[in-house]
Amino acid sequence: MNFGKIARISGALTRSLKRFQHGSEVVTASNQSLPPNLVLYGISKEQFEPESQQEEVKSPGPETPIIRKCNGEIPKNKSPITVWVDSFKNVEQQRQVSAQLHPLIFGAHPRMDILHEVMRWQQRYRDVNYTWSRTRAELGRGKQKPWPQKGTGRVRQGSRAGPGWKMGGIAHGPRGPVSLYYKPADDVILKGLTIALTVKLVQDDLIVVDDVEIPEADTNFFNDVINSRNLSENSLLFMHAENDFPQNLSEIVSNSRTLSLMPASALNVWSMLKHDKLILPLSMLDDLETKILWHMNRYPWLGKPHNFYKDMPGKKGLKFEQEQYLAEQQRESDENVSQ
Amino acid sequence: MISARCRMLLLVKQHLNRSQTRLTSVLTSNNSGVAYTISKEEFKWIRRLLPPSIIPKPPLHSNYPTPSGWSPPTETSLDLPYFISRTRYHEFPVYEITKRNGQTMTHIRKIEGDIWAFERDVIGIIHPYLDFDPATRVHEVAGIVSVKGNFKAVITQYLREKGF
Repeated sequence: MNFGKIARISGALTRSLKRFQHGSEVVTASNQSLPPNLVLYGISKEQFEPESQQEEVKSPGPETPIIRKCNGEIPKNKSPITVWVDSFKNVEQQRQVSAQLHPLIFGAHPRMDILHEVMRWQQRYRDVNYTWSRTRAELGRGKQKPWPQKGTGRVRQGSRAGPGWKMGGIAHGPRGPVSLYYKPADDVILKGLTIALTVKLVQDDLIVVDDVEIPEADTNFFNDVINSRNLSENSLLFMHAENDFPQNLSEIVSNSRTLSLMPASALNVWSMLKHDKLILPLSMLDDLETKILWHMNRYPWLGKPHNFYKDMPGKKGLKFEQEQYLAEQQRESDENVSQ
Repeated sequence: MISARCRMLLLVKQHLNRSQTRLTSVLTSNNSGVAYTISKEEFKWIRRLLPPSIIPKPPLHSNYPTPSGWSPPTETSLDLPYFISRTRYHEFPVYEITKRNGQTMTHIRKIEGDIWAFERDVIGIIHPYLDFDPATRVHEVAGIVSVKGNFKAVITQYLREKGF
């Protein structure tokens, strides 16, 4: 197989890739939007005009104020991704302020095989094989010898339930419910998360919002908000920060089949792919980024994962634990200095 | 005639039936006289013994390379069509493996950008050490280049020179 040939990429994805790369200001020598060895089946590169097919949406430029910056360390060959920050308090779509997203989480290398693996794991880890066959002892028939041992001319038999008999017991058949639970490596699941977030962002399916809560539990107002953003025919996945439950939105979501509301800890690949659009509030981004970056930069687990590390995210979050640890270290160093 | 101990046990049972909050006061003020206090500040003596979970950043040295031969990546951006990031342990992602038949292979992971340009550069680096063309494999999807033979030191030196 010639690895230089890549399968047909739809117009929407190439357009999104171009916009994504221009918007993120990638710091490399080659600033080409498409790789040079890309082959597009069916149409020549001259015929391919993505700009004419859809109106261009401006990505946030250098003048737009940034209300949220990345916390974690950013590698030198990458720069933060800027996205518009919308607001559900206004009926009209807002494109005035922007937020920065971490490139390792929202700009990960799009490995479709890993995404597929994690998605299939979510579907299959709960599977149980319920097949069960009876052995010769479980058929419920007696232990009577069908004919005497000798003299009849037939093969010696002890019961009519043996595996050689018609309608007899099965010798080495499936035995009872068997769990088909399995778990891929932690790194694979983590990469699946980051790739799903990247795919959502690149395909214009990620909406960052200052607060996911709406001012009142009014379905008409909510429908106006959704229609003005052309999301009336999309299934929406709303996320909220752990301690920040949106009461009004939950009332509307509970009455709808196409809307879902989940806390930040429930973010998963299957839900992201199942729903058309993903809506993230700013309050959730800090915790999400610190936890994912912690998983990328931690030591392997010593044994089972346990809460006996000095700087592990607990209930109050990684930042709180780190601050506590640093404060203790500072206190110890002050004591040493004073002594 | 109820003994003091029996009276104490009856008292405890009564308190248990009423509420949980009263139990602590009963326990702390018992007849045997062992008083204890709850202190959360003493946990710091346990916390210093717990292992860290985050891989620490290497300390700043005055001179590089360090005595072990390690040097950090340069802070300026590089003018190459590809980029090879460091592992979480701040090392180069170059690995050598030995197969069961005795063959050695070198893998270079975490390659972003034009992987074919990197493969050409790797061939150029290895050429002086071989009389024939080196056997390489490019895994575009995973960002891995594999070379037949053990060239870990040579490739690591090249990456260090370039400042990855």
